[in-house]
Amino acid sequence: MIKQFLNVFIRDWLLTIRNGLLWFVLIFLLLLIIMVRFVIPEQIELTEEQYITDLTEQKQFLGFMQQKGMSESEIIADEETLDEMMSKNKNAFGIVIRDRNERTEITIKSHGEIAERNINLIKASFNSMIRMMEGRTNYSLIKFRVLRENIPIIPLNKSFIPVFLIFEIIVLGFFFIAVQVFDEKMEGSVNTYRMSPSGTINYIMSKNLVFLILGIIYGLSFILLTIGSGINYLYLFILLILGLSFMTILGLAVAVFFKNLSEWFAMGMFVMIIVMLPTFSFMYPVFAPPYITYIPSYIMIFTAREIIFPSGNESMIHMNLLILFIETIIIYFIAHILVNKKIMKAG
Amino acid sequence: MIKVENLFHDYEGKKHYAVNDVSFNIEKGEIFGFLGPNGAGKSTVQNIMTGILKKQQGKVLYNNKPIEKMGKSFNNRIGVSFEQPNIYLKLTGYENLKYFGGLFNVRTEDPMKLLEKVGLKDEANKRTANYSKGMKQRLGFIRSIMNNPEILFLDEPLAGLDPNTASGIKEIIKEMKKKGVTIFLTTHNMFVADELCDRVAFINEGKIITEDNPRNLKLKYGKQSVKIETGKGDDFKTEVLFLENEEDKEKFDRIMKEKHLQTIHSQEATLEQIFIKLTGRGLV
Repeated sequence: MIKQFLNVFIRDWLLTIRNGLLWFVLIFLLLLIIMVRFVIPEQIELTEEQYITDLTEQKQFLGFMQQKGMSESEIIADEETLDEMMSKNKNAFGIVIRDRNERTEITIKSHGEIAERNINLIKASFNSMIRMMEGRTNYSLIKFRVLRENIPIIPLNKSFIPVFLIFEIIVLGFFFIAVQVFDEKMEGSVNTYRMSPSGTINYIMSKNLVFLILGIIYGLSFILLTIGSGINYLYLFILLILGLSFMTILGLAVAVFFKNLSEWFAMGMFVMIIVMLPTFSFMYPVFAPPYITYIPSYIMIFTAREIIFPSGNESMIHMNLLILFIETIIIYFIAHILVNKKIMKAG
Repeated sequence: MIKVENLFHDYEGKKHYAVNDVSFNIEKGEIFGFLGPNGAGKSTVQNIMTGILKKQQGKVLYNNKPIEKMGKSFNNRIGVSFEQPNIYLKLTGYENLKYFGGLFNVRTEDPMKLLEKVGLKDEANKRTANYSKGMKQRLGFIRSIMNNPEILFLDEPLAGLDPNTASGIKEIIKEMKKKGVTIFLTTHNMFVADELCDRVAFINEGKIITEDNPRNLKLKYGKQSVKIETGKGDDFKTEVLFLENEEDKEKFDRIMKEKHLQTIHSQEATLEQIFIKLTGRGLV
């Protein structure tokens, strides 16, 4: 049994490393590392400027803002100059304050649309400022407290590493195994395998092991060269094993229904899009409807984030790895039945 | 050795049988030819016999043991050569054989010796994607005997081979027979069947039409046949007429009266002609 397994594994390994797609994976890995380390900055500084014109009779806003440390260059004498300054600086926005019918009118000028919530924030700021000017409140009453103070801020260039890592698992596991199965179907070499006493388990597990090895080398190199040490590599290792196994076996279970990549394309892309959906939840964590949280890649992405950028929620890692393990076992049994029926048998 | 009884197979479940009540026996050490055109049901019967297609109805017995009870270890005892070489194009010839040999739980032949046997020793370390069609065919064939099988299934083993190579492969098949290997050979090449097979069965539209040894078939169906060529210059037509057949006899008389007869030869009927006579269609 072990001799047969190793034999099939060596075959799958040779077929994979002799496939041009492996170079694609290596180049992709290199590009990701370059992007994370050298192209994407750690932080994007928003250099938005503001110009303010106080046209009220008393100029009380101007005085108050100067008192609070507003730069002289931001204070503009009249509205025409403010418009002129704004036309030169497309990132700037302007604020014009004037008296109208014994009330204060504040006009905000912007080059583009401002989200409703930002408009409300600006309105609230001015209300607050007016109250302070009237002596009804002061800054000391407004407090800002971070509940999870120990969590370091994730630099922008590293924030997408969990997504890149899971994307690699999906591509390597799901897509490449399909390519290998179609090669075997096209060559007819799978016919010779089914005539041998080596069975379905060897067929599935040898392919799985090949992509596990490649995926682990890829995943560990990627994390080591971008994040470095200081994370729990044991958790990462287990996540890679389970994630790659799940996607590889799922890829096999889907590929058995098709003869070649062209036939597979629509269904393959559909499945890949579905498994990539949790990326949106990663970018916008409030977007997590139940149907997305049930997709196994959701667990993978958020477990990867907790492993790479730990917030101290180890129990979540344990639970997610257990769920992923159970899902992998289930998909294995499904794939076993399908491979047996569609690959090991004719007709 | 092998007994096939009342085998039926219906792919679509609509009573359109690809194999329709097929029965035959093969003795140990015999070469049994299964002759029929494409789509006649040859591969379906072979797939059921090798266990890769689930038997629906009928019996396939190996030494009186049903195929469904043979288990995966049965594959240690059989060798299968396909019409297509079915080899890994990214592996070398040597790697293909080495890998395939490793799948068995029984002693296998040395890959290099096998490659030498079919003249591929010098190409052993070349990737098979660079092999010619004939080289691939030889590799596919030699792979089927790696595990020293007791039963060998050969599907068109000489298709696409040059006469020299084909002769070498025929020698290996004869050698296997001498060793007591039972061979099930499917082909639509009558000359291969005639030369190699102890017995042949004709299959058409899923049914066995007749079964006997080639000599008996020729004696039975091949009397008084003539091959004639009619036409003008290079534009001629070849026909084989069986003079025992009233229709053919009348046709022969008609042709003799016409002016365009080019050649006429009395001859022994070939298996193909017998097949045509029995089924009304050719083997290709």
